[in-house]
Amino acid sequence: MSGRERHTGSAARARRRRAGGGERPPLALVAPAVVAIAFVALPFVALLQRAPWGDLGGLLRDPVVTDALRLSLIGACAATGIAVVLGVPLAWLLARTEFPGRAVVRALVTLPMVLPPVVGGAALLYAFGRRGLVGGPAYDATGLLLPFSTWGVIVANTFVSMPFLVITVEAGLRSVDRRYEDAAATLGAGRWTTLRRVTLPLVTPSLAAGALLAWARALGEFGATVTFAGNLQGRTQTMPLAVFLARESDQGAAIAISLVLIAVSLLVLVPLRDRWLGP
Amino acid sequence: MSGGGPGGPVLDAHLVLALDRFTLDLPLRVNEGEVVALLGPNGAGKTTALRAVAGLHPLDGGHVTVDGTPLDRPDGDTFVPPARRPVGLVFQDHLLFPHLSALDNVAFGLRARGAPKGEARRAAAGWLERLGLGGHAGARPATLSGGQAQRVALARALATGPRVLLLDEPLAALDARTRIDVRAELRRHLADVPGARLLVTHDALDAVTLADRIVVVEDGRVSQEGTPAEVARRPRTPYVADLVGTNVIAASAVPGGRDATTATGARLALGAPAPAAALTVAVLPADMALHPTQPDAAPPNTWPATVVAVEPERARVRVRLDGPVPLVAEVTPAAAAELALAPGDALWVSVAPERLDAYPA
Amino acid sequence: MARRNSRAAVAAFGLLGLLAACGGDDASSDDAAADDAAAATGRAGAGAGASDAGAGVDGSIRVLAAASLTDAFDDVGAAFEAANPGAGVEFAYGGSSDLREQVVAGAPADVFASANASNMAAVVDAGAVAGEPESFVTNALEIVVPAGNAAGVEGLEDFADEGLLIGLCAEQVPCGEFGREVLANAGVTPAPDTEEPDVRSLLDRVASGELDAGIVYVTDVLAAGDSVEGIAVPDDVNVVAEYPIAALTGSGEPETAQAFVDFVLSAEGQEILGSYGFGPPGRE
Repeated sequence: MSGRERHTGSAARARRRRAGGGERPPLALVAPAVVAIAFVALPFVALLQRAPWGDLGGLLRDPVVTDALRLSLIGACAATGIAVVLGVPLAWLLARTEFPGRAVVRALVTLPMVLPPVVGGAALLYAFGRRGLVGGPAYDATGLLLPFSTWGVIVANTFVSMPFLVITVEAGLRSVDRRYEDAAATLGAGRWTTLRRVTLPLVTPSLAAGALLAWARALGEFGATVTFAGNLQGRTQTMPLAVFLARESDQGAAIAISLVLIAVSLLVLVPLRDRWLGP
Repeated sequence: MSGGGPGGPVLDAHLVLALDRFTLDLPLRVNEGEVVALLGPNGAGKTTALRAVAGLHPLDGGHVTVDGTPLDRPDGDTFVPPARRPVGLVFQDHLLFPHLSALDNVAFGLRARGAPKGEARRAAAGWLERLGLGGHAGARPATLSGGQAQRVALARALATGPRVLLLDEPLAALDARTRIDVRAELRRHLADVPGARLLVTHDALDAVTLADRIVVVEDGRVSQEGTPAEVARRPRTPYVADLVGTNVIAASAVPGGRDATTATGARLALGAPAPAAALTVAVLPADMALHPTQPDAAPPNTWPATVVAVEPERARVRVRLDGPVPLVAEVTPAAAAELALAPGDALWVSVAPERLDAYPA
Repeated sequence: MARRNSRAAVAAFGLLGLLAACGGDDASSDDAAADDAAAATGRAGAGAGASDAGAGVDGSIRVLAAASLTDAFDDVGAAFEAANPGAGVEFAYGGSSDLREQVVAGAPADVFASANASNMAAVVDAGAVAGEPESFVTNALEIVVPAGNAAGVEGLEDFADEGLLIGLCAEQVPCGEFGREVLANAGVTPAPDTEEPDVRSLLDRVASGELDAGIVYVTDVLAAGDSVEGIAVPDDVNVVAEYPIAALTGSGEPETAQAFVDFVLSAEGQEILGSYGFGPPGRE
């Protein structure tokens, strides 16, 4: 009565699914995916192959490396923190309110993602440098200066990484079911309570993803940092900068520092990815 | 129907809302201890009306007053936001906060209104016990069954002690089997709490089982109001008749006479003298006879009809007919087979005058 | 099924091949790991008209030259092409060690002009140099301050002043190596606020007023024009960098490459280089 069945095809797949093994993905998807994996993995494999495993211990204790690592972590974490504090309210405004020029603001916020980092660094100088629009008067009045300081690194990092957080959180806020907020209202929660206890907890996955992206971007930031904050060991020389300079004189050291950076990144990204970005 | 509590109705409202295709104009009163059901087809504006009472949707005219205090009065420029209204709302798909446990969901309203955490959670635990969910206090909404989630939603709304409890299609999200159980339980729970209860539904069975009074809303207006028994016995519009399972025809007559005329000009022979000039004539589907050709004897109340739909049910077949008098007829499966009914068929329908029940419109 | 796989494979290889070709072509823009900091600009030499094959050499060559030679070598190249209408010169400027790495790795290049001896030595050791490298210019170091010298910098001693914003080149680049040597010669322990990865970015910072002073090459001060002022470094402590140049063994146009080297060393070439502030080569 029913139509012909391909016993080898769908029935076999169904059997496999029942056995708990999951469906085998179609070859048309697997092939490009494998190419993608190879494309990304090969450079790392090549890097590992050239690493000076013997000298690694000494290199890793070198103050150049430890200073750079410390600065990179401080810079990335601080930038992420600032991005969250400033970016979440901005994301909320973009997602939930209508105001004139909203499209312009959104474009402006994404601009650092598109701008070449060095251009971003130069722009930061024009704004916050010693002769800058805001930096100039501030320096004359207080003697405070962002370039050549660790705060300069943090500012440059924040500039390039905040857009990632804002974009991700805005998308998350847009996808929150507004009716949860209706429910909270009928239960007696004012706007602030609703935001705090309902809306924000519901965007936590987006927030985590955005913060992670921002952190990763800040960790790898080079162009804007070196152009804006300069380069000085212990104060502004982050890991990417240390690698770049080490390459001039000592290839082995450069690779070693790169490995440290990769290891630190993996240590953070791998455990977090599934926990926060999974269902 | 009016007055029941010491100071008048708990909920006194006149809901005027400009919707997409029409304007809703709905006077509504719910007394202390009453359960009123707003019954109407989908798209009639019932949910919007409910949201307006809750304060989630501002009125375009009229007012919402609870215990004498105006909550929404466009004329007087009064609008109390939902958070400050003594109104609770149980949503159609419960809308429990997914990131909170059942206990914290129920405690949410109390905490939002300032109660300390421990106290709120204790009260919430009490509510969950009352609704038979004591063991599920720590569960996340995603792990609860449909019926359990709906009960938690009910507890959540009740925990803040609202004067008016609103329920939006409370059983719609449940499967048929669960619906039967939850309907019975809901009736008990609603009876246990004070205040006014207003529920919205498109399911006549829900309305009949749960409500003390039914308000039927069609095209933005109240088409009928009364106790379930009254509405079932004397439906006034085709919609209500259909819900209840009968047919109604609007007709006019000379009071005292036995002839009536429908709006389309068809003649009706009544079995009893007409009680008024404007009549609603009810006739049960089972009382109609279907004939493949015009009957020879030319009995009274015989009209041509076209089959619109044939709906077989367990012990009978419902046939929807179009023609000068649109009707729903019911025949036995054997008769349906004999007539070989199919949509588009032309046949004749007749009904004995004594089977017509005419009452003032 | 099999056909689909091989088509995918061909597409993948084609893509990788395309990427490799792009990478090889433009060493100037794909320079080094970091995207932007190296001041590397590539310029194709003007036309290889090749109308008459009689005058001079012809052929297109690629010259890898230290960043500080940027504008000077452009002029030299133009003059070379004027003298040799059939020839075309393309320049790729960058940090000397980056360029050295490229040569050693086998990037296509015909001539290498370095800002210091050690990078050239490394290239020689790799066997990439045809013949012997020759010193073709010298470059001394100079203190550079923003136009107006608002901070009132007077000499090398000011480089120890914590209160001033001082910049040096990073140690890993020749300008930084020599700058530190100069300061050591003068007995000054510098308190830098930044160690720029290349000399052009140090110059930019001084010119824009972000820094009060820096140490760069004489040629850089000249190149920056009105936006900066130079303060001479006393001869007894100054370091004079010898710039070596050599034709490379990997060249496809060895005749043209050598002709270019000869042109650089010729009177005309030297005159052009001198106008940019470079000094004549030492006895080497």
